[in-house]
Amino acid sequence: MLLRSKMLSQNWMKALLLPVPVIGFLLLWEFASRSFGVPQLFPDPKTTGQTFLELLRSGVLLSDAEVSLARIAAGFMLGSVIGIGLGLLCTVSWVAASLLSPYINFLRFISGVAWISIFMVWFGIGETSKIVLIAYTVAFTVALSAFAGLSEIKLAHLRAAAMFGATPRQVFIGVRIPTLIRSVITGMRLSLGNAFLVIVAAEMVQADSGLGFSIIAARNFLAPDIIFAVMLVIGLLGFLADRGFVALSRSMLNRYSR
Amino acid sequence: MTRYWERKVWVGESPMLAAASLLMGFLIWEFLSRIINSRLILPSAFDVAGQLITTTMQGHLLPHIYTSLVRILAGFVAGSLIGAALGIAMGVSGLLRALLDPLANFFRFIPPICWISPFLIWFGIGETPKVLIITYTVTFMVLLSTYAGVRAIPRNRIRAARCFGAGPLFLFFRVVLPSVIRDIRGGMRIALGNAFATVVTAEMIAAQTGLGFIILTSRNFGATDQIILAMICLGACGFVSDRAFDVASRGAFANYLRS
Repeated sequence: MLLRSKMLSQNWMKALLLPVPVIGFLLLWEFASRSFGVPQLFPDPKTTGQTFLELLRSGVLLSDAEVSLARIAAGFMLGSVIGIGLGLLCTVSWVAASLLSPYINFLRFISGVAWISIFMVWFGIGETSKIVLIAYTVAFTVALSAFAGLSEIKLAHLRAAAMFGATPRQVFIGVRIPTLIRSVITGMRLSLGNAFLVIVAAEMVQADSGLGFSIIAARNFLAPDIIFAVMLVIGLLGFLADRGFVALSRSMLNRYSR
Repeated sequence: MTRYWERKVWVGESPMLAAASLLMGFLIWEFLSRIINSRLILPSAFDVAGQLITTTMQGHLLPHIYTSLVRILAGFVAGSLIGAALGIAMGVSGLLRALLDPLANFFRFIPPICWISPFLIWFGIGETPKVLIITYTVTFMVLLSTYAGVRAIPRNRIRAARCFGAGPLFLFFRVVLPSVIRDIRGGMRIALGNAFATVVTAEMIAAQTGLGFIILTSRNFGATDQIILAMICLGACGFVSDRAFDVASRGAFANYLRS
């Protein structure tokens, strides 16, 4: 069990067994749908698949996904910049860290979903409020992990650098920043998932396009097959975004990731 | 005198500065609200503080806090149990890992908010769907962290136990389980924060009470002060729960948390 975990055989097993969970899940879904008894309320995999293909062919799904992705991209970049800025500020000055920490410890428990109404009042019902909402979520997660990363800076590293005669500036650039990069990357990865969550919520509450909007529209028309199809798309997009981000950050910043 | 390289490796937050910062934030909020002068956009800080006191005294607020906390706790406990069990199972058995990993990796990217309509259809408007939404969020957090914990157990620790003749049961209860408690606890602590964040989503499902309910319905009346009030309660409850969980779990599992 635990002892003979050779990477190669593991990967082979995973690849060989991949169809099993997928087929098993589809069968379970089919069974649950039949035993629920009302196919209009709990569509089976086949109906969902057909709806998915239909939506894909008509282009509705793609244009919705495009709108949502554009919002996520804008909010993610803005939020990352703000989050990294806050993280750096806290590295440079412990006064700033102390001043910010009560808010970070407090707002951590309030999701973007709770802010939707307030941001709508402040920034209107257009794109701005949605992008700000994502930026809030992302900035927050990135700053939080930068905060956690501060505690990972090792005294021994700082002393070693000082012993070789590094100036404060060199310590900052050569020791503190590289340590921080790893936690910032982790934070950005986490926040990418959160960005998907929040944009769907925001579009469900107030939008006329996007994936969240199509879920709420399908709900109002009582078309759960469309809801399932859109969920499938959100899951796939989230997965691809995550893998893409990991690949990108690995290729660019590999030397900081231990 | 501390040298610059030793100065503040990590700041233990200064409580004085933190308190000063909160006070400053409160005053800035009040100042801004006077400039903007619109209850819809930004209600006065003193107003909200006053309302916090009056609604609590009149007993309107506590029932909402109570229902939300019960939902969070139920979902948190259920999700932690499922997540820890699945995480250990996936970590220990290669077969289960191959079977469950693709599903876990797919569903963890589907935000809980997507489930509110299906859950409403399947489970009705009672407590079940609300608790399930929170369970869903918590499960994946705890699962991933537990799984990573099992995989990170040093091989030599297991080999050593084997050498001394440990059977599979002993190995599981005396080596694997104690080794992952730290990771389960870490995952649970993050998941607790997420449970608080998700309760607003969960209460989108036809709720009649709860802090999320206040946040969602106040929007229809343009009652920004109520929204902020509920958000403050949510943040405060989350902060207190987080600290309580940290202290309690550290006390209960002190033996397993030494590094």
